[in-house]
Amino acid sequence: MQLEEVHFNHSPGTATGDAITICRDKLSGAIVAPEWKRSPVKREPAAYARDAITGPVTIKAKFSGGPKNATRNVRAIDATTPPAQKQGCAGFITWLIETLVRAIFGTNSEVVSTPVTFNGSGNSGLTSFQLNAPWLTSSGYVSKRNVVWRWQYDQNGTWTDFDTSDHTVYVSLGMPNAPWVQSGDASQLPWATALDQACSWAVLAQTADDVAARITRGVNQVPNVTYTPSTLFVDFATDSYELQAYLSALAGGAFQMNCTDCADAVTTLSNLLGCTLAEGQFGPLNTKTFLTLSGDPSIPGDWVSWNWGYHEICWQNDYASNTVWDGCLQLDMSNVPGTHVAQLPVKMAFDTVSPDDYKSRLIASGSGALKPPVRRRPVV
Amino acid sequence: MLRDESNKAIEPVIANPKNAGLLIIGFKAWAAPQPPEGALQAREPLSTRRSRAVWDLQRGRVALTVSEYSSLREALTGLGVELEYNQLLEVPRGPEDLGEISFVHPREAPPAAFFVRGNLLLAVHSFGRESVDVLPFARQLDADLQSRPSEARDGGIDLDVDDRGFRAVPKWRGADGYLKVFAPGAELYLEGDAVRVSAGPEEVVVYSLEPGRETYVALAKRKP
Repeated sequence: MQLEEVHFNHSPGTATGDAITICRDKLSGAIVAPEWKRSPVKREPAAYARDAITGPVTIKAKFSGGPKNATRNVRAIDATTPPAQKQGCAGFITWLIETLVRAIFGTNSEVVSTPVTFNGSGNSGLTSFQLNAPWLTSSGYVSKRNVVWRWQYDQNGTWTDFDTSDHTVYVSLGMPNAPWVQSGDASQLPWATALDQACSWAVLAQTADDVAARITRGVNQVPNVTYTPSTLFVDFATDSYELQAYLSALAGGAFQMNCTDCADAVTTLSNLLGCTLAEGQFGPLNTKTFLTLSGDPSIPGDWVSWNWGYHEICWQNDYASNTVWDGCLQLDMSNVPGTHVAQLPVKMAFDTVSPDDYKSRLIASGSGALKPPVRRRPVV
Repeated sequence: MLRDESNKAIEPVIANPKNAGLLIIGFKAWAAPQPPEGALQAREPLSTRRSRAVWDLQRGRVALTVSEYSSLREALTGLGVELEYNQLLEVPRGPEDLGEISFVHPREAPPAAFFVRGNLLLAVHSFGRESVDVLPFARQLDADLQSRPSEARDGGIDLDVDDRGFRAVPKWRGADGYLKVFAPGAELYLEGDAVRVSAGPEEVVVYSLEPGRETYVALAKRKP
């Protein structure tokens, strides 16, 4: 007996009990179930939006080589072996790390036993199975998981292995928000390549605020990036965000970004995991001293100031929220001349009466007037 | 940079361009005829009209971003938008001999040059942590884009001429091939894949170029 197909996104119109609709990249088009197929070989990733799930999560699977005109109970369990306990302090720490890695990135799930009916040729139809996975419950967190299942059938009370399957599964918190879509233009479906990056930066995040904070930090702390005032990842003719180029740059050597590039990256990757950020500009402004993009607080030369025509940052929904994230810089929160205290602007009040709000800490002079509208640039 | 400020410099050039008789069609950043001395590290096709190449030099790295527009005037308008997306309150004018018009980053910012040649908007950035003077490469590129090939063969370009212009289709062209269209004194623009000649001479010269391949030339004579 063998597994033929596994379907994660078996109801493309909904995500309440199955996977969301994604694509591999901007050119691939939507990934259509089955995501796993024996022949011809097909291995595509799947993604779930934790907070969209309202009931049992199901997958569907198809089998061949079963008993003719009969029914069998089938299930799948974690195919990976739990790390063995080792002796000594170092051994315990190693075991602990391996166990944590397995819990965060591993299978940690099972496919519940279900009767499967086979026809006269020993083939099954597409059969629905309940998926038990703690990472899809309300306590789940952002992750990219390598799920490996060992498929078994029940023979007289004994579970017998008959196949294994391996799957890449992304877990986001909420449904992807603009610029991402779930129908229509396939190039704006969530990209697996973008999910790779977003899940890497936001792994373990359990709330939208946590996601936005981790993505902001990720964008700000890329080791090989430096600041330039000119925008490098926007197609000006279409006002689109060149996300593919940014992902390529992350994988390459040194590169540069400005505030618009950072705001696009934070908004686009956060919203992919369920946040509701938007990019908005303000200006003109002469800045106070701040820590430059990817700067080291202990290096005096990384504390800079600029005379800007505009600055672009991320807002919760729109300007009315007065709540901002900025992946391009770290503010100086020190009140003592000659000293610096770096703070990444994460869920910060933009403009209040407080001397510690974003605007007070960034702007030395200039109106800093808001420049509507806010944007969520389509991805290319 | 504030739009009003860039417009003050760009609008007079849109109204009275120096050379609107040059079109470069399908040019990719990594096909720069004389690239900076170093290894090509990245070729990024940003869209059908935009591309970026990055070269690792002995010290530092340089990125060239090329955006293709349908005419010189549109490229100049695109330059205004690019400068509007520059955070600097002021982006100084670049050398007079670079492009139709050029702008450069001031000394306190990482080196960068922005200029328009024909229907292309070109941006050259010092792309790494170490600053690299980008003007020598920008000037070389600008000169190469304006120059006519020293050798070219006939018979490699199919021309479909009508009373408003022509379509030029190279018989052999790889992914990095591009066309250069010269009509001194005329104004050229693209309408879909057709080259339109709004005014000027009866003859237009078309070259088909590609690194590592023979260059071809054809003469398009306007239909009476």
